[in-house]
Amino acid sequence: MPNPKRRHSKARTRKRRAHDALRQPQTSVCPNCQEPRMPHRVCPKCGHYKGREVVQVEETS
Amino acid sequence: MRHLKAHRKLGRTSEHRMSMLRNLATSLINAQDERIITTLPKAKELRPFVERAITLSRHATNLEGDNAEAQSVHLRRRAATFFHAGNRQQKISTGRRGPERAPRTAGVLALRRLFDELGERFKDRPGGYTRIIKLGRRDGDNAELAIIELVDNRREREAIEAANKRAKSATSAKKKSAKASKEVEETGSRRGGRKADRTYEKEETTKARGRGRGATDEKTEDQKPKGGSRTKKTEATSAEKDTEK
Repeated sequence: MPNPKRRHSKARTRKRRAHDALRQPQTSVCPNCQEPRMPHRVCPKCGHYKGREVVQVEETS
Repeated sequence: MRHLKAHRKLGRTSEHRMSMLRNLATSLINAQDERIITTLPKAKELRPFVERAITLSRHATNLEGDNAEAQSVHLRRRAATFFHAGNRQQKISTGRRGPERAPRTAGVLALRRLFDELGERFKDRPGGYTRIIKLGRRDGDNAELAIIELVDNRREREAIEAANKRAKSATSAKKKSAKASKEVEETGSRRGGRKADRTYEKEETTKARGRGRGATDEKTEDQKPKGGSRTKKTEATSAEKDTEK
């Protein structure tokens, strides 16, 4: 069975993981309601896209 | 390599895939507001699929010659491959054993609507009859959802009409205020031409300040534009901001 020959130091682990960070997804601001939303997608808050299109019925919860 | 691999398989066998595309096309055309919500890959696969059918119906609107009738039938039959044929036998076969079910003729309805309505509607549109709008990801399987809809649908036409009405009423209301704002706009647009501004201001200021100043007008002419132009500038910038908005 394969076994580690040497102890794996914290530094080695941490150096490896230095590049593993996840990035925050890019968002843009909805021109209608000023909420952040994903670019090129319908705003989930107000249902607007490209100014005029009210794509979804606005949910009142 | 991806060369020559034009389409997605969507995790289905070819029969399953064709069936699904026909169902999607039927749903899209029969849908009340002419839009359906599916996953983005399905929408993207559906787009060329339905658009080919719509193009056939579009060709059927301007047929000429002796065999126009035959050609229109031919086009209709070619377009019929984009929908399920419907199952008129089903009603009879299931009627004996259990409760009667409605015949599965949604595809037939879609075909009829395609040739009766959509062909005429898209007569002058060279492709691009559908629009895909991305919606974001779905809870549960994180699939990207999208709306696919027929362009130039009823909701859109109503929106355009409403916008036109609004514009009309706005212009009639504006006419009164237009005169006042025009003067400001003119000075704003003529920023570089100071001479023109000066003559214009002279008239205005003489009118506003009356005769008393008439005698001193020539002397104060050099000073006057300073104060006058400052107020004019602020007006102009505010007008500019309005137009920018």
